[in-house]
Amino acid sequence: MHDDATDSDCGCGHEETLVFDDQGNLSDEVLLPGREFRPSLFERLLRPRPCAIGTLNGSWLLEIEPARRFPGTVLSSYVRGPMRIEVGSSLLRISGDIYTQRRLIATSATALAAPPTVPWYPQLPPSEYAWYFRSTGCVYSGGTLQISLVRHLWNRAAQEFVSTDAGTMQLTCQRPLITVLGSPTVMTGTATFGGVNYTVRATQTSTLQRGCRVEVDVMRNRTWPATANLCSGAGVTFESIYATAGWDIRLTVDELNVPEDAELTNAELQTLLTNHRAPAPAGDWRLWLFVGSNMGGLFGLMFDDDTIPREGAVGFADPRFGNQNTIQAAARGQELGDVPLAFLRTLVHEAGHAFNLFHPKHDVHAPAIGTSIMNQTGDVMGFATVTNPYPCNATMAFDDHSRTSLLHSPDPQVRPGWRNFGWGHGSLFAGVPAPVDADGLTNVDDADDLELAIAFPDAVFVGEYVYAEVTVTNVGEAPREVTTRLNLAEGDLRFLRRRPDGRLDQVRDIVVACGPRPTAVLEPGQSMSSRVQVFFTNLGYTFEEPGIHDVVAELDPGDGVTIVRSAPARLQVRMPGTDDERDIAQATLDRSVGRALAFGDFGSDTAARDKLAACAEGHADADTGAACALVLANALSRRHVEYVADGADTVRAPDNAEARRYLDLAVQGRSAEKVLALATTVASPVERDAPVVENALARVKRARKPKADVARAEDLAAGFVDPTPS
Amino acid sequence: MRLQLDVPERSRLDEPLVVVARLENDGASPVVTSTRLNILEGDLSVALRPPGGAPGTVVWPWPMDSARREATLAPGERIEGGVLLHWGVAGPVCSSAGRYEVGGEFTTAPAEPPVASRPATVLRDDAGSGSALACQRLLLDADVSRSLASASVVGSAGPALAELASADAPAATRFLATLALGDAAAVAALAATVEPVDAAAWTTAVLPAGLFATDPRVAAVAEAVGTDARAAAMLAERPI
Repeated sequence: MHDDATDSDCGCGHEETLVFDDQGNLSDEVLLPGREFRPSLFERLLRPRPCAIGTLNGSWLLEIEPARRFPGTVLSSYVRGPMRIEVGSSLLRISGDIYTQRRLIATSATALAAPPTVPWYPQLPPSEYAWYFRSTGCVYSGGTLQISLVRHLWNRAAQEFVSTDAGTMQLTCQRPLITVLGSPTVMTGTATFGGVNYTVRATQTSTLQRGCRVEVDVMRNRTWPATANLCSGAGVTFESIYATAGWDIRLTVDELNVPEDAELTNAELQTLLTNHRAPAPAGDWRLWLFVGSNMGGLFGLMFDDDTIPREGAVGFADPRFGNQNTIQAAARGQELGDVPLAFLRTLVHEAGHAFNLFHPKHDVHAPAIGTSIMNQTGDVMGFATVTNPYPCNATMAFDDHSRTSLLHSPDPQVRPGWRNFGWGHGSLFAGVPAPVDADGLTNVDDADDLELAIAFPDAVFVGEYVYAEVTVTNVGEAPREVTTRLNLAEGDLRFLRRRPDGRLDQVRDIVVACGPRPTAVLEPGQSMSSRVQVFFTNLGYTFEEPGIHDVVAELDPGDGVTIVRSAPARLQVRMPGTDDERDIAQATLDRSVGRALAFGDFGSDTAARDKLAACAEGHADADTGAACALVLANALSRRHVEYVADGADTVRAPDNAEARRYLDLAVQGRSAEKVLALATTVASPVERDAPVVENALARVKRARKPKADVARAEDLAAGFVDPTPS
Repeated sequence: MRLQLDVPERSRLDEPLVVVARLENDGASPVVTSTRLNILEGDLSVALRPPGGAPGTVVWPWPMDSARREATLAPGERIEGGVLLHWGVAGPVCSSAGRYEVGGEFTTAPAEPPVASRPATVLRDDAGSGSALACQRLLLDADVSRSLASASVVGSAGPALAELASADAPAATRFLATLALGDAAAVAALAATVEPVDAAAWTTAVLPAGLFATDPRVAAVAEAVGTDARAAAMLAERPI
């Protein structure tokens, strides 16, 4: 399906230079060529010629390779993804989504060994997503397409675009007038991203821009409107309407006898989706569309808002139209399912929501309310008149804003099952541009043989001591070598935190340590765990903002090729509610106390020592009080020297009696396991010999705690010094 | 036309925030208006400014398409409906402590400019401790929140909803959980124990009466609120 200009193009190549602005619209600047040499007809038929601009319209597989490879490089990235080119009568707009996969150079391929049959659409795993781009200006001249573009760089852990930069791409398209049947059009050229040069190859995969499988299931005694006639008499289908927006819908009507249920609920619809959706090839974009009965008086609903969202939508066949004279006579009093044009409109509309389209009146981009597909039926009815009644007055096409979104919005926004409904309809893209190469922000793949879990308490108050438990498990079938640096100081582990207001932070220890990477081999099914202090980090007080914080952990196992990421953990942070909580917060929200809890030592800061002591002695029953006591026990067990330039160093001598007293406070009324969990988190992860761990273990052994409890404490102490799989 | 949002001055986080939207004809002539005074169907949009944050619109997580419903408001007449500010497309709404600014806009007809309310504020407080805090935590669960908003049991929320419907939870929480559990008789029994207008607001916030006119839970609440004219009007989606 082409725009008029595309169809009317003579195919004999463009001989003038067309300049398109950042919105893709043709600018007034047209550069005319000089007179050309004219070869014979035979030569003209076989000679590669600049492609007509109309042939660029459609979907392309874009593959990007470094222009120069550095000697000794073992791994390379396979950088590729869909590029969408929209050619209109005075418009050239380009966008694309790039995915990366690490490969050994020996196995790297720049082109597909056996490309699928055209048309096809490059649909790649979300776990490999790296960046999105769109044109900010294009010039097409003599078969050469020059693109200025902006890139939005994707953070796989946060599942957000986190920064932008600019780049350029130049592609040349030449084809003889006679070509081998079925051979795709190929463009080759160069690109520059982050100051690095690349070679690029684009293979056309379709003359439409995107594709999606749609499975339709129908409740008994209802009908899927396979075709509908416009009031002008022309026929339309679900597929033909989406084709006008550049989408190739492969629709299958599957079940026709889904059991009758006169009134449906959201929960029932979710169950229907789970139980009736047929299996589909992995990785393909797909949507489940249901022809249902009724839910209140709704015409349709995109009901799928779970953790894998936007995969299901429903049109309800049973609601009846009223008898107003602004309703087409044949539709008055009829059920929606008996008015094919109206019902088809509803189903196309609901599928649009699954592709993350908003009602125009709710869209932050504020397109005008009108009669196009994504307007609510109630509003379209509001524009109906006696002479142009509903559904005759409905425009069976997408408004320009929705069409552009379907064609060019990033894959995470559009692909069913990726980001939630509404994502992409706000100010999503922000950040400081920085040079980044074609890999984007992440040039490693997800490890599918490892699993990472992160656990927090459900809720804490501001000022309460917090640590997280991190566990990495080999879920594969072969032994796996994994870093043992399961801490936030040494760079293999990091946390991504989303604040209540949506901002993202990277959480690291206040200590940054460098050194060799010790590893351990995890046999299949084995795990390794650690506890990490997150009360005071590179961000200061990590959880000082009340509200819901979502944290994702990311671990580099050390193979240079993969990364493992946890599911988000949710932590509710509230203000201190009781007098005790307020008292604790007053002590711990002093930054010097925060730093002491992170370092496991107050150094020479006597004010911090006093506050730690007040909290430890006043609130030994609370874990935060115990953590303060353990910091004191650690610090007072060892000598501390404050080196100063003039040589007048101050020395803090050990005070073993005081250290023992604070250890006693921490142990009182607490399990051995809990004491060691706290001790191993107040000790800095780079101080494996921190005295508090050894002393705490010795103390709990003397305290006549249950054997199993002490055994668990011993494991924690041993794991702090030398993490081992179990 | 004048739009007003009745927002409580304070509200605890162990109950979902429900406000009452009121559209009044303060002019001298009758006006034909949409009666879809709820955020489910999209004629009403509500913007929130969270404590220390930027304002954003609360968008109902399940985009809906429905027929237009209209009424004529005579001068001085009004329509009212409940609005649940607990769960939207971006997840929980008003779920942490602090002061929120709330404003609304209502599209009376597609070709008309929207009517905007004056902003109002609500202070959301933590629930203190004990069972109230447990209730607050349950309300943060995604399946529980989806269930309350959709008036149905979503995912594995059943036991939590049963807990929230128990006598320990605040009235709005109990009511919305009971609605979600779907027992019309239990809804009616609970509606009889609370202020009729509250019961009507909580019901219409998730089951707009014009849209769910045949839902037995709406009918049960309508019967329970009896002769209270304001509640009855809300539950019939008619002017008063």
